[in-house]
Parts: sequence; structure tokens; C-alpha cells
Amino acid sequence: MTEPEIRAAYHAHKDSIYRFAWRMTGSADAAGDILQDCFLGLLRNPNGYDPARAPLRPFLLAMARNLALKRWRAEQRWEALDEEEFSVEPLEPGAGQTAELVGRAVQSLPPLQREAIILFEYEDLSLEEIARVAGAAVGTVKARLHRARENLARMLAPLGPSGGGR
Amino acid sequence: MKSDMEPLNDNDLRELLRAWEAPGAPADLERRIFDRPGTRPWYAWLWRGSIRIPVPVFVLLVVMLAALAYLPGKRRQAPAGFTGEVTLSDFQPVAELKPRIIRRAYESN
Repeated sequence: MTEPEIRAAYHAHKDSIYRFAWRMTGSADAAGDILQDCFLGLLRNPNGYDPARAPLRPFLLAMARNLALKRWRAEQRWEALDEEEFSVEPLEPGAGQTAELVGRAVQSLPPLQREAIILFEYEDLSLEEIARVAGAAVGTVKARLHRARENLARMLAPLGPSGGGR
Repeated sequence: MKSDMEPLNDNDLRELLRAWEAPGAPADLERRIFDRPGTRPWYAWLWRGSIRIPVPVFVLLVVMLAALAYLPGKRRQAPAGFTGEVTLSDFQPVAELKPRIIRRAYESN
């Protein structure tokens, strides 16, 4: 890729990559660093991306995903990336605004469940694209998505129509 | 009571998830990525670059430059009475030539 092409790609995908990184890390600084590192990586190694292998957006999301997980591993060495026995408690509806509570719930998920739900619900990727981004089988992604939805449904139950939340 | 609450169905969950919006990328990030030194041609540094010098090094350089500017001027100070102009009339022929032959010490006379 030439620099003008990389710049055009930046304009086309920056918001998507930034939003994904922001939702994964919960930090604007971390999201900015991840977006920066993705495109600096492209600038330093412009032949690293092969358009014949995958569209650019999933390629960039995969880079962002790996950078986010690297940060997470550096901070939380002893926690599993995906816990099947992850325990959830319903959130207190009065503890904050709906958006804030939803964000807190998503960010409390184990990282692999979190990335699956973010890529599916917020970035509108298909299961096959998520599998490519995560480097996992489609069945594995389906299982992670299912567990993520179950956990979120329990945590956010107080905010639903019958839960008395806002 | 909390544990008795029905979990959300998929539609309600999806609607709730949409409430959590994320910001777009900040505007200054583009400059941070594309204006970094490694992305510009090497000669751009000649008019955009800067060099950071520690203050003691800077002071030493100033002292050395001042010394270089002062000392040669002192060595090249003109002799007393020198007006700055040199003409041929200032040169006088030798009145008497007295050649002196100097032999090496180990040669006999």
C-alpha cells in the first residue's frame, strides 16, 4: 500500500477501529494508542496487508484486537481470557445512566466474550468475519457470543421493560 | 429477589446495547500518525527538525566559540608603530653581506 492509500484507509476506518478499541479497553488514551499503532504498523510495513487475503477493515480490527489483548494481558496476568464459569450479578438500575451501566456490563465480560459481542453488535461483523479477526473457529465464536449474551441478559435484567429500570 | 429476575430476551438486550455509544477518533490523531519523523523524507528534517542540547553543553560551546574568536586576534596583533600599509620603500638593501659557513661538528676543518 502507498502512503496515500494508507491515509485514505485511515479516513475510511478510523472511527470503526477507535470505537472498537474504546469499547474493549474503556480508555480514550488506550484507544488512541491502539489506533495509532495499527496505522504506524501499516506505514512501516506497507506490504504486510494483502488485499487478496482479506478486506482491510477486518485486518485492521484484528490488529487492534491483538493490541488490546496484549494490553489486557500486561495488566491482568492471572485472569483467564474467557471464563465459562464467569459469575454475574444484576446491576443496580439506580447506579448510573443506562448507557453507562450497559458499558460497565460489557466491559466486565471476559475479553474474548467482550470482543465477540462488540464485533457482532456494534461493528456489525458476521460470524465468519469475527472468526477471522479472533483467529478462532466459527463455532467457538458462536459459543463465546452465546455466553456473552447470557451474561449480559442477566446483568442488565433490571434495566429491561419488566425490570423497573430506565 | 434479584436472582429471580427474568433475563432479557434477545430483542430487549439488543436495544439496550445500542444505548452505549462510543466516540469517534480524535482529530489530532491523524497528525500524530502521519507527521511522525519516520513518515517524512529525510531532507524534511533540514527545515522542520530541531536538536535538543543540554544547557551545560550549550554553555561550553559558547565559551569555546568566544575563546576561538578572541585568541587568534590576540596572536595576530600588529607590532607597535605599524600603520597597516606596507610599501617597497619600507624595505632597505643589505648594507654589508657577511656570509658565515657553518660546518657539521664531526667534520675536520
